[in-house]
Amino acid sequence: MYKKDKPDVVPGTPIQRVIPIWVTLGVIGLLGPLLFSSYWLNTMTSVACLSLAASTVALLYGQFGMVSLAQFALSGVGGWFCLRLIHGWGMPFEAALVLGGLIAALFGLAVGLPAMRMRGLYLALLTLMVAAAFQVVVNVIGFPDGGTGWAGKVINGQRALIERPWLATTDASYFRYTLVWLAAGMGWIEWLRCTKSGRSWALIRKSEAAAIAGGVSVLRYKAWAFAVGGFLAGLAGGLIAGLNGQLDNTGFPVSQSILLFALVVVGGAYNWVGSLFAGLLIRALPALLNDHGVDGNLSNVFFGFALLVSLIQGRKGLAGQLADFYKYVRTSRIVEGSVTWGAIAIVLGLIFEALGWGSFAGTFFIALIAILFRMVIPGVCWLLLGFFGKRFQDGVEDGEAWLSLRLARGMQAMGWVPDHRLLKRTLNWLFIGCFVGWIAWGVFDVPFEIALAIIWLAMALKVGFEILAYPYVLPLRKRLDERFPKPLASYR
Amino acid sequence: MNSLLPFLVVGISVGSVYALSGVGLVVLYRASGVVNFAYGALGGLAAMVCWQLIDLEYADWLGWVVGIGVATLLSWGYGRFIAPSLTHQDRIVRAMATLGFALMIMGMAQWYWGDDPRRLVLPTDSGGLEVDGRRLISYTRLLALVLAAGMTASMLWLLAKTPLGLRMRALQSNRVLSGLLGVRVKNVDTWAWVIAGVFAGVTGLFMGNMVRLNPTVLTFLVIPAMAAAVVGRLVSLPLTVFGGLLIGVIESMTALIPEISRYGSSSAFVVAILAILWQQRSGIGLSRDNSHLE
Repeated sequence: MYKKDKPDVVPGTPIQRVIPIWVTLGVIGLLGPLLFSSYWLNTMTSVACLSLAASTVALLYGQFGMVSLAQFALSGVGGWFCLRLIHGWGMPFEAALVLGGLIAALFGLAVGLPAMRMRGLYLALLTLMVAAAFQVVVNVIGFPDGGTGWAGKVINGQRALIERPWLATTDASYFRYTLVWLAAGMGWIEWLRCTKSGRSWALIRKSEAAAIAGGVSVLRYKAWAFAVGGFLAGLAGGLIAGLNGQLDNTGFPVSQSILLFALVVVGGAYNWVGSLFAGLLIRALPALLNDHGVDGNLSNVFFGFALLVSLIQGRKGLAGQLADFYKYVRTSRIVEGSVTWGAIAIVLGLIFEALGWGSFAGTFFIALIAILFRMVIPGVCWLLLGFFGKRFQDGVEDGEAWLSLRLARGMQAMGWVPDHRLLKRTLNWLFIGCFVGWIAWGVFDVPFEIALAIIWLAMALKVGFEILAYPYVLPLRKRLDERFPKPLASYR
Repeated sequence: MNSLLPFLVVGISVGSVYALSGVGLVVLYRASGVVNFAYGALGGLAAMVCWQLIDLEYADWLGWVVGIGVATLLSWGYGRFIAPSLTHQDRIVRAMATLGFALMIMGMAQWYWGDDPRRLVLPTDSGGLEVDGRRLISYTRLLALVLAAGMTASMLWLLAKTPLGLRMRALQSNRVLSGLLGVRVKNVDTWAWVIAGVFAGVTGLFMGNMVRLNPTVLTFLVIPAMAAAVVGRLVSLPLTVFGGLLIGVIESMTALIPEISRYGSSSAFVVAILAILWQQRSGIGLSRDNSHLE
């Protein structure tokens, strides 16, 4: 029943899949340091590290169907060796980072080796035990901090910190530096997902017998998956070490390993966006709650609830919801509507300015807020409906379609045949008019009548424009649809 | 030998609590196919509720009964209302869903009670069996041992001799066929959840007394309990009991060897890892023995 949620063959060429990741992370990297305070910047850097670790969980679970609860422990391994190499041999940061990642990959292979024979629950339990044992061991040994001996531990002295790489000594540049590694790691995973490795992994997930029959070396690709996962998880650990210059003995508890997996499921394991969500949830949400004086423990309650909901709903997670929303945006006429709306806002602004009822900027701004609500309100309603389950969402949509049909028939009976959604939209706009008008009155001190007039006039203009332009727009739409086909068919 | 004896006794008594937890996990897994990550959280909640009632100066027995009752009620609620919507999913997904439940309980308990140091005192703590004038074992630990033996025996009897046990074994063998043959699947599942809730409550009280009275710590004590269950391959009760006792004894014996004493608390996991590797030694991947774990 839920099989269709798992993409077996990732659509698109590797380049097409990787570029959105790089663009998104690039924009975040450019804007992030401008938007965040230094506390939040460091939080976001650690979010990026966690996202890298989460993407390995998503790779193993989403593409390969294996549950590894030890990925965050592998980050600990990578971080340990990264610190050890820098303190012991004075290696440059990047070299230690990559070497630490390679050693973590070896550990990942060692954990994954028994997986050559098992899968599912038993592998999850095995990795859980490994993560739990790692917690105890690292608690005793501690992370290297410039001391002597094989553990590199300072006894009764000043703990040494490692230096950040020369490229990235400030918080802002280290944030960007981490994002570059994250972009490389996620891009690599996405690349693997849509080339031969990804197809082989998906085939092994479906059926090992089929994979053997198809000439796929099961052993090799299993080892490859665990090695890639271990390497990138290890990199994440090294990057966390670089952020603070040291690692905390209690920083890699088994509970975090479990939580990481849980939040990858919540975020969505079949989409790279899900890993970003997982990182945000695990690090930024508790910080956000603390900022607002809410007990951080309540984030656990939220995580638990979200995990239950997303598992019951069908394991697509937040990223899956978002992809559905994107599909909704593409199939609805939101983009087209926004363009007309922008034009109307400008016209209205000019009219109001000319008549002296309000400034151009103010009118334009209020109209834009209205369009924002016009776009956001149905979307948010839709997402909220999804929270109660697919069946409920479908039910509400059916009800809505039924009502629209009745209205359209009623209008037909009365002799005018515009758009069957006209009445629904009018109700929508009446509500938005009052609501945004009220906001404009309360927040910006715009007289309520003026704000209402702006929005309702805009609505009337838009409806009038649509009725007039309908005969001309329809063929244009058709040609556009032929030129740029909707993503529905190629979506999964 | 005399110096070993106290460690052995302590190890066996802690091990018996692990064994009890493991038995609770295995019974639920056999009947419903769910590995219950919420087991520790339920036990932790039971211990905290019990402590709260005793702190408010209610009678001790009321605290115990209400604590175990709350754990049982929550376990019943999950098994009756939430678990059925997941029965068609993989076992791993069902296990992860209980993790969500565990996080909710743990977060609530941690938010309400916080991290303050507390102690759950049982009246049996003060007395104990004495040998040569030195206390060998407190009555609490003795009680844990006796209860573990009694409850495990009653579970063995339940599974082997009663109609409910027969239905549970039928579900373990094949859920769909059992349903076709007229076993009321949801009903039996719910009973398994109730039993698991009682087990979780009882072990929670003992763990809260012996280890530490803290919701987070008690929640993640489910992992050593799972280690015991893994030794029993998640199906065998006697092997699970053996695993629990073994883990307890090894854990307490490591205190005798200074080089490894600090790693003692990892013994449960090491035992479990070795047990898994041992169980996987021949091509079990696709064989009958392991198919229920897929």
